[in-house]
Order: sequence, then C-alpha cells, then structure tokens
Amino acid sequence: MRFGKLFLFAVIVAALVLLPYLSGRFTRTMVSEILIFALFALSIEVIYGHTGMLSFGQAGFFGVGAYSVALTIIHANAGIATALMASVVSSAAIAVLVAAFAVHLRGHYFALVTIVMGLILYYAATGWRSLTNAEDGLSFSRPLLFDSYSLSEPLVSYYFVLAIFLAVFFLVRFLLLSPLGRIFRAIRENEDRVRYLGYDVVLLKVLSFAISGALAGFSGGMFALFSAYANTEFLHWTLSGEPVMWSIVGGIGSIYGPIIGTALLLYLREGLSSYLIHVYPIIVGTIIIATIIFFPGGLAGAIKTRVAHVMAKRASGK
Amino acid sequence: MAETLVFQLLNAMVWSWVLALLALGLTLVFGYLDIVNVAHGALYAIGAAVSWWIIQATGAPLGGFLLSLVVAPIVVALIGIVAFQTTLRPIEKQPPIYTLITTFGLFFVLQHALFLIFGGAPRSVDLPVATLIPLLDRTYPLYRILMACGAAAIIAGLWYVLHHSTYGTWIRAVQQNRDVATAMGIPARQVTLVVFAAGCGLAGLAGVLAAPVLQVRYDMGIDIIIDAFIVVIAAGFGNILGTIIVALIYQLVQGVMVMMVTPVQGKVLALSLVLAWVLIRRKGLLEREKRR
Repeated sequence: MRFGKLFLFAVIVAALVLLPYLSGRFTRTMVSEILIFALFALSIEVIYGHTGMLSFGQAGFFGVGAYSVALTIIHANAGIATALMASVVSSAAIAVLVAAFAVHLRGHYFALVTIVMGLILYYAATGWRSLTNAEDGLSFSRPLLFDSYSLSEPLVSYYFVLAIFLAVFFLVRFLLLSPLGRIFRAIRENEDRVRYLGYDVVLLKVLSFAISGALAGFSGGMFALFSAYANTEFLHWTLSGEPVMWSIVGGIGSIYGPIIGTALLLYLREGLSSYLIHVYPIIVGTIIIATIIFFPGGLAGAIKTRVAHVMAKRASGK
Repeated sequence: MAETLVFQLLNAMVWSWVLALLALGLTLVFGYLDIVNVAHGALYAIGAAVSWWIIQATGAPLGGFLLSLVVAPIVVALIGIVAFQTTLRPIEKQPPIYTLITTFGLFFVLQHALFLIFGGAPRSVDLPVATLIPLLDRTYPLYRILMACGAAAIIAGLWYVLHHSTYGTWIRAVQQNRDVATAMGIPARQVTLVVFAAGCGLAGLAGVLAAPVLQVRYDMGIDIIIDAFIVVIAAGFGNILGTIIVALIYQLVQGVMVMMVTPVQGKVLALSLVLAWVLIRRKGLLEREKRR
C-alpha cells in the first residue's frame, strides 16, 4: 500500500514534469492555474478540514497577497522572493488580527465574521482607487527569476509554478502530519478536551487561521505573478466560496482531496466556460450539493472507502 | 445641503424597510432552522424578475404589480420548498455548517438559471403609482412611501403570526426543542418546511417591492444580500425588532456618510463598525441572552 501510493505519486509528478513536452499552451496554462489554485484550496484544508472552522473570507487573503506582489514590484522594485514573502506576511498579519477576536466565535458566527472581514477588505480595496486601481487593476512587468530567467517564457513560468507547488505541498503535508496538525484535528473533534489537556486552544486556532491566511495570500501572490496582474475582483466574496467548493468536492480532511477537487472543477470550467459561461455555475452548484448529500467525504473520501472495501474483500478472500 | 440631507434621510428610512424585510427572511431561516441561506439574494432577484414578467404580460403597471405581490412570493416559496426538500432535508442530521455550503451551491444554480431564462440585460419596471409628492421645492415619489408602508405591514403581520397564532407557537416550540415538540404532536417536519418557504417568500416579496425602484437584473441580489447579512449579524438571529432597528440605523448611517465620504468608504466604515460590535459583544444587538 505504502509502495503503491509512492509509485502513484511518482507517476503524477513525472507526468507534470513532462507535461509541457506532451501538450500545448492551453493545457499548460490550465495546469499552472490548477496548481496555484490548489494551494488556495489547501488553505481551506488547514482551517476547515483540520481545525474545523469554516472560513468564507479567503478571497480577502488571496487579493491581499496578489496586491502585495503587485505593489512591492511596482513601488519597491522587489524581486520575486521578496514580493512573495510580502504576500505571506501581509495576509498572515491580517489573519492574526481578525482571528485574535474571531476564534472565540463558533460555527456559523465564525464563518459569518470571515465573510464580513472579506467584504471589508474588498470594499477597502475598491475604495482605495489610487492604490489598487479598483476593477481596472494593476499590470506590472515581472522581475527576473534568479536575475536571469524571465517568467514570460512559458517553460520557465510552468516549472516555476510546479516547483513552488511541490515545495509548498510538502511543507503543508509535513505541517499537517506533525503533532501540530494532530492538535488541529483534535480541536476539530473536541475543542474542550484539548483545552482540558492544557493546550492553549485560542492560540492554536489563531495559528491555524494565520497559516490558512498565509497560504491563501501566497496563492494570490503566485496568481498575480503568473498573470502579471492584480485587480479587486480577486477579493470578491464569490471567490471566497470557490476554494470551499473545490475542497468539499475533492474531499475535506485529506490533503489530496482539495487538490483533486480543484483540478476537477477547474478542468470542467475550462472545458465549459468558453461557450457555456452561465451553465458552468449551475453544474458546479449541482455537483457541490450532490457531493454534500451523497459523498460527504468528497471524492477522496469515496475513493478511500472504495479502496478499503476492495482491500477488505481481498483479505477475507485469501 | 440641508435639503439633500432630508432626502438622504428619507431615502434611508424608506429603503431600510425593504432591507429589513429581506433580512427578516434570512433571520427567520437562521433563527428557527439553523440554516444560513446564501441563496436568499438569488430568491430576491427571482421575485423581482417574476414581477417584471407579470407586469409585462398584463400590460398594467398597477394591476400587474398588485398581482405580482401575490404571485411572486408564492413562486419563490415554491422554489424554496423544492430546494429545501431536495437539498437541505437530506442533510438535516449533518453539522449545520454544511447548510452554508449547500445554499452557496443553490445560489449558483438559481442565479445562473435566472440568467438563462431572464437574460443578462437590466430591465426597468414602471412605478405602479406614478404620483409625486411635492416636498421642499422638490418632489418625492409616492410609491416609495407606499413601499415602506407595505414592507412594514408585512413585517407586522409576520410578528403577529409568530407570537399570537397557534402556528407561530408551533414554530417557536420546534425551535426550542424539536424532539419534545414532536412528542407533543406538532408536525415538526412540516413546520420547518413552512418556515423555510416563508423565509424564501419574504425574499420574493422584497424583490417585488424593490423592482420599481431599482433595475431588475439576474445578479441584483449579490450586493443587497450582503447588506441583509450585515443587518442580521448585527441584530442577532431570529430577532424581529432588532432587525428593524439595525436596518434603520445601518441605512441612516450610510445615507449620512455618503454626503461626507464616497459610498464605498461609507460601506467600509459601516462594516467595520458591525464587525467590531460583533467581536466585542460576541452577540447580536438586542439578542436575548438566553437564546441557545
């Protein structure tokens, strides 16, 4: 089983590495976007999948991250690493600020406060036109990677995104498998017991929200770098729902679920949106409702039960 | 300047009743069913669209409008019933937070289904009552005053039903303890369905009332639903009086601030105040302390 998993993983990574040589520009761009948005979806996995607090304001972080990259590059001539760091720091700082108050709220109230937070960021960004240029947005020219590679080169851009994705994926995986991730899951299951064990639940929840916010901000920064552009639609509340939906469809509570869900739904969107722009949301809405009703564990959960079922059958057959 | 202020305040007071009506639908469904209905804005748009169709079909601004006041909420409530039975009933036993995700999916489905039927172009509805009242050298449309009165009457009726009728007692009983209520012979399943349908119907009604003032668009619910949510959060869920007061304060504050800062800045200020209020109090304004 362990070997099988590793093998599958190696095949997927190999396919991703070889992809530019096997397919055209359309697929390459789509896969890049999927990888960036998968990080956005992982931010939901941290805060909701593991810690059990649903955030509906992630677009606020995404947009703040995107603008951090755009503004540091435009106004401070920052390099890529500095710009990305700025996106992480700024979004994590906002997350800490909000979480310091909001983590006391439970269930719906936390979700609603995150919605309001996202809205404040959105309206602040649209109102501060001199800084953000509102819905017209900011275009910028990207600095060179390691002072020598241009992100306008398709291959550079693709491998940059892939490398960053893999690095962040393993970082998040490490984090969630670590004792810290285990405590997050314990909070999700029973917050009071964790408190009785002597853990500072408030601090841990703030930390979880900060990690989630940083991840969302980072994905926003990556998206801004990838498209050399940022506008205030990046902060809109309807975008906040997207990573939640991707994660639910893919399967919450597993680090692979949100990635699978993102890939699936974005693939669907690319396939449909060119001529059926208003049919796509109807299909996605239906998929999300059907998932909640029939597969609460999402696709990853369904696969897991299926595999376990087959294994059990094989074991008992022998 | 003073004249503008008067009109701003008048507009705010009038509009706050429509907002309160919309927010009441939300607060009813959350307070009594533990469902945050994100699709509420889409239902409001559907109500407005149905009203437009009826007025077009009948060709009579007033007659069609009055007809749509009856028909549109029923249509929207029926959509709500179908949505509830197919999407929310099956997850009744799941954690309540799931309903937020489900209704987000519903919001997508309903809003874009409306686009496919209604089209993307904004359409306007003629004022059912074209009379203008002279006021301070200017005129004010009588319809807006009537609209506010209508919304207030509906809210009063809702309050009466909830607190002074047998069915209202049932609704409150089911909210307090569903199992005991069922044991007492109250049809809890039916009650929850009726509450949800009523909440949706209120969204439809608000849509009909707002249609002649605003333009009817398939996505007209996106912005106002946010205001409604803000009102509901600040007022505390399931609280009728609080909802009315907060809607009024929210609109008045925005109306006055629009004269000093840009509308967007006004919104940021208003939102920040609400957020600070909720975070400090950790509860809605006027919310009864005992509510669980």
